[in-house]
Amino acid sequence: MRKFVCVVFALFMCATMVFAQSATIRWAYWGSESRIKRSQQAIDLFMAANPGIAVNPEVSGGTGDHFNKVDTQIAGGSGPDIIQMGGNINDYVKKGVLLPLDKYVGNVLNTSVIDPSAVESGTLDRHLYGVSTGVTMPALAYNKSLLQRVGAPLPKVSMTYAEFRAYLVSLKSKLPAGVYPMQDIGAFSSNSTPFGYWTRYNGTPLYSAATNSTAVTTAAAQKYLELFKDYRDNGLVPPPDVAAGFAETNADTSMLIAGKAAIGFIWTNQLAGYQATTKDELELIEFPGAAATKALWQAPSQFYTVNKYSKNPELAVKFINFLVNSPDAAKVLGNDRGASASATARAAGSSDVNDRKVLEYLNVSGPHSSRETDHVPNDTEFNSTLFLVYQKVAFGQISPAVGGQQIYDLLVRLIRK
Amino acid sequence: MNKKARKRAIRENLSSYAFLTPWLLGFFLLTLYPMLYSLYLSFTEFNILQPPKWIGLRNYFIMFIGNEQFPRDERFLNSLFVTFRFVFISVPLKLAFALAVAMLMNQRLKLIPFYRTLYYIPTLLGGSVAIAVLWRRLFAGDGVLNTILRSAFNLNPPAWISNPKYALYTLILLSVWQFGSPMIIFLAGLKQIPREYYEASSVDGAGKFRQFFAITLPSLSPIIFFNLVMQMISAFQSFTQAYIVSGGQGGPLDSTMFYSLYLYLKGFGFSEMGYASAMAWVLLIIIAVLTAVAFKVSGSLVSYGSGE
Repeated sequence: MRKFVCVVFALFMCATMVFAQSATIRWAYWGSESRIKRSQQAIDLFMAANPGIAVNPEVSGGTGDHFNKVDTQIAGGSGPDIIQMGGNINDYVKKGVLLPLDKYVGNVLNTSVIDPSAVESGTLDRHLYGVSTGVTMPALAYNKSLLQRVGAPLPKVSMTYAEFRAYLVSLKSKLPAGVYPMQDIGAFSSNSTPFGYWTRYNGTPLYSAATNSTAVTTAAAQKYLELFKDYRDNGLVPPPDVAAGFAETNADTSMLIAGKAAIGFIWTNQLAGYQATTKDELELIEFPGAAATKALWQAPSQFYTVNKYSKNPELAVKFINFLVNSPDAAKVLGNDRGASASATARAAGSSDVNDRKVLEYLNVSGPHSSRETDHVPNDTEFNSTLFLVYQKVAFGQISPAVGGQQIYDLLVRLIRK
Repeated sequence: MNKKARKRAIRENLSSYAFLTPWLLGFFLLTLYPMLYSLYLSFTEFNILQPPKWIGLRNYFIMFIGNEQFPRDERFLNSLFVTFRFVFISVPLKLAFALAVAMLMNQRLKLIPFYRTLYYIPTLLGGSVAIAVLWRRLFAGDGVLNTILRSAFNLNPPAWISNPKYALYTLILLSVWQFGSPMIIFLAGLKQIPREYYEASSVDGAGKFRQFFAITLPSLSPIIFFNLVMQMISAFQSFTQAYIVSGGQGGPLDSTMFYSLYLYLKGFGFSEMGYASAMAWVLLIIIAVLTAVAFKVSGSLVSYGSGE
């Protein structure tokens, strides 16, 4: 018996020693199939080059699940080391859960090769909290193969709202029953982006951090709801119960990918991921009216941030540096988290057709964009409630006027909160 | 001698507490402490990541009353309404269905054990994510059901799951379909009813209906009551089906926004854990009150058989 205990104890000691030698970095991010594959390839490359360091990905399908999970883990004292952040990075800096990365700059993290604007976007209160994963832009994607099959003309990249509506009408006559010219891009769980674009186009941006106020008025929000009511009433976007059948959290739940809509909204960095899930060919066009108003914007697609309570912050930063700056990583990651902002990563080049499409789009749309609007505080609640108000109008439960009032009230409440 | 006896008693007590320790630890650390802590949190503003801030009764105030500065939470009231509707429709249906199937299963047929297992399977599967996904496929706009309705009957049915008028009923159906556990309990109850009652009554000329209302229902009443209370409590806490079927949104239009789903959204989505804790306590009170009412009402309706 004693012998047995000794053996078990010895085994236990060995196990702890093995664990002590190898460090594990936990990397939490969200994304669909193609991102998971690319990320795993990058992890494999890193682990091959750095024996003794293990990287464990913790993946969620969408942003909602990702942040629910991460919040709970952090609150329970077992947060991941690297956390992928989106536009809500400010919320997390304010909550004080992210590690300032300044002391790693220059030694572990090479920011000198990263575009200054990208470094700036991850800098809050004069500290670097997030390393930009790359640049991305909102865009409309259309199903080129579908349009060719039904013999419809392909859309121009830049259109006015009037041209755009006329184009949708012309599509409607060609498409079979049950297939709609466009997704209802307001009925999204992440609908603050299409709405955000429209408010910029309308000259009433959602939020300004400097003045802590919104330029959106009740009338402006109402106008937006009426724009889509018009599309809906004329069958240019699907009826609300059809739209609600698609969660639109990623490519797998997208109406565009399901072949039920010809045009849909995506971010440019999502193109390859969406393309990977369909045999039809996708192409990018701008949101209408961008050329005249410069209402589009380039955004840091996501950020890599480090948990303040990480036990291996330096290794985590080392891995981040690998992800953003290494040409090897750049080759496998592609444009999936945005067009790289790092010169060394870009030097790796790309032969990928989707990356080329994105580049072409960025060339046209870059000049049609201006500085990004600040994110509304409490991003998650904004998206969720905006979605609800929009749906109420779509289902005809309230009028666009009442909806406009509710959106305005919501913004005011979230800014004050 | 006396001393010795006392010593032994103490030792016996100690050893029994020692054996109870695992359970006691679990109870204090994993049940009682979190419960009391959530009671404390319900009076605070708590975003999970920063220390909670004491705000007194404000969370409760926002739920039910509200004012200019802290408007009343309409989504909360809606979720309450949705949940009540779900409970009051799904529980009676489920019990009726479970009883009907139990009576079928109570017959002396050859393959009865096999059928019993078969009918219990939905209950084992029902809470799972896979079934929720399956339900989505069944009742979607171009789902299985609609494809059949369209091709076989030439109808133009709505998208059941994404239409706010019908979405809740698909979830009710899903809940009723999981009738297995009340069925098993009913079946056990049916077996307890002495056969002589039926034999005697049929001699007296009572038909099947008369027998059902005069013998089966009264004899089963304690079991019906037990099932009612258990099913009601669990229906109030329904979460998984709505979460999966609606993609975590409680949609369309909050029509499947169950109480616990909204609680989850508030706590983990909007980072308002204080408010979510307050909601949890309100739910506890609602369930306690309804259970008490059920017991009160049951006094006159439930017969335990040994009263005469």
